Amino acid sequence: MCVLCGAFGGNDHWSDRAEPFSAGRTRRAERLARVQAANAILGAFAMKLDDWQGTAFILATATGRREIVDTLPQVWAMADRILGRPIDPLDPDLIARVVARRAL
Amino acid sequence: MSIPVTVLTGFLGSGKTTLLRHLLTDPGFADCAVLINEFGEVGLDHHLIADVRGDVVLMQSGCICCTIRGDLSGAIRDLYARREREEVAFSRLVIETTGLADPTPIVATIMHEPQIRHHFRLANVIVTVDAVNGAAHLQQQAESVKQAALADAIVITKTDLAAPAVVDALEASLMRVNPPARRWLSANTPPSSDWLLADDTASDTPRTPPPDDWPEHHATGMHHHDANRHDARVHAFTLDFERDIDWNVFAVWFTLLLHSHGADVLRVKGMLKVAGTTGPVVINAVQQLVHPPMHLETWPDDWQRSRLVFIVRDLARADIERSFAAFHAALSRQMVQS
Repeated sequence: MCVLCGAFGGNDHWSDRAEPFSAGRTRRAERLARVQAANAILGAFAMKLDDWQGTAFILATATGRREIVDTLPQVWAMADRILGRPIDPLDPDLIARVVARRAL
Repeated sequence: MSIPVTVLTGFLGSGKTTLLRHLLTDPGFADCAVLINEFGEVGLDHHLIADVRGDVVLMQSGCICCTIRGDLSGAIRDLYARREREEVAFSRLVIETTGLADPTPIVATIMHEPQIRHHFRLANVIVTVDAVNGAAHLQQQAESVKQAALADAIVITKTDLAAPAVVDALEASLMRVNPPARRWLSANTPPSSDWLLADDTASDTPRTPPPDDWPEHHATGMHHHDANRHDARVHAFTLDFERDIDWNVFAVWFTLLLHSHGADVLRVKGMLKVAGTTGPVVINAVQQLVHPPMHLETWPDDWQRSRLVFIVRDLARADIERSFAAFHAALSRQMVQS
């Protein structure tokens, strides 16, 4: 636990165990890359993800709602709850929107 | 070093108990502890040499046998505590499931229960399938298909009691549900301990790459089968990726896929060629339960590319392939641009 802010250490979800594959980048840099990739999807729903202290994520909406979650699966679960419907990576419309946003 | 765990499952009457009896008496399992549902079912009396305490006995073979009283996690923790107190000694654990069980909760207990996951790791899932009734179970019982789909190794029992054509048809069904699983055809000869314990998801030895020579009708789906059959809803396919994989994009996409379709993504296993790394990254998932990805030092001979095997229910290969290709291209390019 961090003695200054009281945050527990990072969780050990498999997606956070990227350091051995990271070709010399730091764990924090890898984590920020995952945040950036997630934002390419969440942006299609007017949501934005931020890293918080390398131990959690903050999921924010355009209306100012902010939720703290620990892992990527929890990010998707919270996004579903906020949207009221699941984000489906197999949905052709979502794929088209993410690809279109890339071109911007 | 964590203790490898083998989960032994199989439908009612599929020969699981016979295989268990073999396990408990074969010196090849001398270093094992075996958690079973109850002693009575395996009839071990003359093989026992010591009653360690109540529900734990030491077999002549040197194997420890223990019944699961109450919940499984309590039984595993208790066994580990006894090992720590040096009351029993073992370096591998085998867990028998009940015949009707979906093995996923047991896999979840091993991989996620806070105390257990620090001392144990899932090594493999072995499934017994009865040659006489196995095909009917696969057609009619969702649990049977789930067991077969999650298997690393399948022991087809009672092959001497079934006509060769029946055995062939069963093998074809199993090939569609889970092509990469190793299979053993057992009339009265159980597989050796080496064969049963060969898989270990945490092993750092190079893996055999998934085969690429499945017959087309096995690899591409089940649209021409009866959709009311449970085994017709499950199929397997491989995805090959030409480009090096951006690990972070894969992690984001895969967590989202498992979050939204995890109940129908029964198994994913294979190797990824991750950008910036030399050896392969081994991926192994049982529904939403993902083994810690392993980075191996070296690739198998003559094989240096990404390939994942998917075993899915009611999902189309083309949808998954299109989704990953689009997300990987879009997200990894976006990250390069920014």
